[in-house]
Amino acid sequence: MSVVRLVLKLIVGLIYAVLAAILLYFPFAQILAYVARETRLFQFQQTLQVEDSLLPCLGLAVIYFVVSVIRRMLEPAADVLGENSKNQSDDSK
Amino acid sequence: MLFNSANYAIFLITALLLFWSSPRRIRVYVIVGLSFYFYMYSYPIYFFLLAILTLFNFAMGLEMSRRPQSARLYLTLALTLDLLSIAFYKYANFAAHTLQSMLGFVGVKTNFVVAEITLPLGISFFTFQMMSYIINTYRGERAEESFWNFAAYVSFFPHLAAGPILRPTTMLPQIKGEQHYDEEQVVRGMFLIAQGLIKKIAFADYLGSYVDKVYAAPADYHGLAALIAVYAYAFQIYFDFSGYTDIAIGCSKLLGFQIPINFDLPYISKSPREFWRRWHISLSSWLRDYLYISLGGNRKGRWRTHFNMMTTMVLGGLWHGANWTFVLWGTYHGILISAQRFLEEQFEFFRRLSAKKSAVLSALATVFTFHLVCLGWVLFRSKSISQAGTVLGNIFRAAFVWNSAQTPIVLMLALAVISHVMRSKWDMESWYVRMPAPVQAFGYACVTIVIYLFFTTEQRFIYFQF
Repeated sequence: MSVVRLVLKLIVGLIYAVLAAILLYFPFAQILAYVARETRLFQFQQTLQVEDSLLPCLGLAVIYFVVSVIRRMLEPAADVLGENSKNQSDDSK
Repeated sequence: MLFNSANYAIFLITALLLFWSSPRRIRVYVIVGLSFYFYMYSYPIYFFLLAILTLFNFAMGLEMSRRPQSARLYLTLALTLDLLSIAFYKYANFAAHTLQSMLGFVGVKTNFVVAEITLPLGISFFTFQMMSYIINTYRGERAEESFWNFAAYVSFFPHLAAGPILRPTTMLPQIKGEQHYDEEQVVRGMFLIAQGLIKKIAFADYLGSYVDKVYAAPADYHGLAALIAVYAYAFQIYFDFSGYTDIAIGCSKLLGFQIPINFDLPYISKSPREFWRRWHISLSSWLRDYLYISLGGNRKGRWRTHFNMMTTMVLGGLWHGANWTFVLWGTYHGILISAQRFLEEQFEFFRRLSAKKSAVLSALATVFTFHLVCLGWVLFRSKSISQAGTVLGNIFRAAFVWNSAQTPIVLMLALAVISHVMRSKWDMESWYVRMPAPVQAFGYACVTIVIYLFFTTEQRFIYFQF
């Protein structure tokens, strides 16, 4: 069971990482494209447009929702919702 | 991303799944992430503008509370950056064109090129929110200590594009507190989203199609045709903006947040001052609290009060856009409010008028105020002062002849008036919430059909340009 929990936690972590990468990709891609255009030192082609990322994000959100539901079934709800860790950190103070 | 688009529907479902599935301690990051993604949808590069302004205002607020002796300096720095951002993106072109025209008028010919600057989405709204936070902190309110809470307050996506302009005291406690899933709030949220879509797609866009035709060639429309366009625009802008606000409030409710109303049936107002208490409430109360009162309000004598009212309304007009028509529109409303105050000061009859409960007088005052407001909308909608003159002049330039092509527009206007009057008597939202689920489902089905029948293309909300 602990392996299942670990895998689910890993999936959640990966989803966070991918969503953060998607969020940061677009503004930095615009900056890179601008620098490339102005300096002509290198070439940069933006591979993903913002609107093209909508459906993949929805897909990730659905997976996240399903994983969260499974995690709540496997563990006490407070652990998944992050309340236990908060209480623990409060206790340690 | 437009609220009336399929992409927004996908985004909202994604947002709800991510938000409600997330542990409570990370929900604020989810809100900030979603809001920045929403913002990037129009121009990704302006992500940096929003992020830098948020960071700077947050830092200034924090420094202000840590070093109260230098609070004035931090206030000045923060307000300067906020105002410079609006001035650069919104008014640089307007100022340059005006300067060019003025120099040309005195015989100096200039040929400096003015770069076309794309207006960042919602800049007038989020900078005003940051300014209200900074001024409140300066006035003694506690500064927010978490950057993420502050970023969520500034960028909360349902109101990021076109308000309402939220106060820190309304939003920050909600962000810091826990959001609970409440079925009644969800139903209310769904109702408001449906109502907003109906207002936008069935009313605003439909009336807008006629208004656009008239304002594209105002010389071709006379008499009744021009008059109908004036009324149609009054309802188009109301349904467009209040529809947007309904969707914003509805989406916030789905996420467990409460946003105050921005419109309270403005066209039933009996005076210009009452109109401004009912129209774009978040902006008019912002102007009152941070501009009118800062100028001295009504505490510095009679004439100074009139001057303060005029200044507030002129700047309020200019806030809407970089064009002389907006300045004139603001001035016009300033004159109306100032005149109302003057008449109430001078004549007993006008002082007692607002207290009188006569139905006939109330109806007359409502109709008169509505027409005064409509006159202002002509200035607001026109691209130039001469175009406004043409539209208004053409109303009286021909006989009022009925044209069958105008029938659907007039019917729609009648429906708009009926719905406006009905809403003042009947709280439909509370009634709908109490209905059993099948009745609610039937309501959503009807809304879907109406949207399907009226939807042509995704039309931008009018206030997105501000």
